[in-house]
Amino acid sequence: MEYKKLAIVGELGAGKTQLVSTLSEISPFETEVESTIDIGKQFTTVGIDYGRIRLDEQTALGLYGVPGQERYSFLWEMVSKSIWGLVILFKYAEHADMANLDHLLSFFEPGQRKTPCVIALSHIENAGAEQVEDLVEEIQTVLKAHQLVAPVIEVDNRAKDSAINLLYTLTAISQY
Amino acid sequence: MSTTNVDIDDNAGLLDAIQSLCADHREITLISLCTLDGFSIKSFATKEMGMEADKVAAIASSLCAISNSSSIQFTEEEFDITIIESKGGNTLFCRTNYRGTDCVVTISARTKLSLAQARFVLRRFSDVVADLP
Repeated sequence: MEYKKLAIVGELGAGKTQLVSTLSEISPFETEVESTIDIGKQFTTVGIDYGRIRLDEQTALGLYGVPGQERYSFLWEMVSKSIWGLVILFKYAEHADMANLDHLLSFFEPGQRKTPCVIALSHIENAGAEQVEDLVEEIQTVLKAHQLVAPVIEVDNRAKDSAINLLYTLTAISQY
Repeated sequence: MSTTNVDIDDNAGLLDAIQSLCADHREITLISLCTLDGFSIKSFATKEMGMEADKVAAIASSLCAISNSSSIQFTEEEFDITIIESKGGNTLFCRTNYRGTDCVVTISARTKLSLAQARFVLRRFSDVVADLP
């Protein structure tokens, strides 16, 4: 069995644990704790969430969810080694944290390392179409600065079809 | 940068407890109290250690969360203490409660402080923190 690694990194409240849980075929290893700040939900990831999904009979994908805040960068180092793909979960908010996205791209260097990368927008049900367009444009500007061509797609972390669509996209990118 | 809602300014009692522990055990190189979600409340580190408080807090919260999930998977019980042993010293983590908030205590000490002593010191300190008004 070939084993591949997918890193799922995202800011506070973006839905990393939910995405790992939705995709995983095994009971996921979760490291959520109660948040002491208002992030729109009760729990937040502070360690590595782990799950696994079979891509085909010969290939399994390990799902590693890690916090996106810079102070957890020691965890990025742990998961960044020999990753097959990278999902950056981006939570829709009025004031999107582009600096953090920039920082993540600088660290993981998906362009230079030729790592298939997808920017997944979560919680967009809180936004209008125009706001989503503006956000995508802002994200594309950051991607361009990193000379990275990566799809920016909407995801519902709770919906299996939506989460699987992310994997299809990554698989498609990896073939080019 | 995000900050915790826990009151981290009015903590004279905590500071006294840390100072007292350091005075009693010169082998201690690091003491940290942070929230379970990785925000530093108070920390002390020797100059030689030179660790940033927010990084210590992030590491402590991660290790505790991983330890707890591992413990539940393996023994169906919550974790008690996590110990990292090295030639340079030992680092211990345990949970406590500070003014109604679940927290993590981290103590790092040179090997002159035996593991048994370090465990005892950690336990006692976490009890002191939990009893602070």
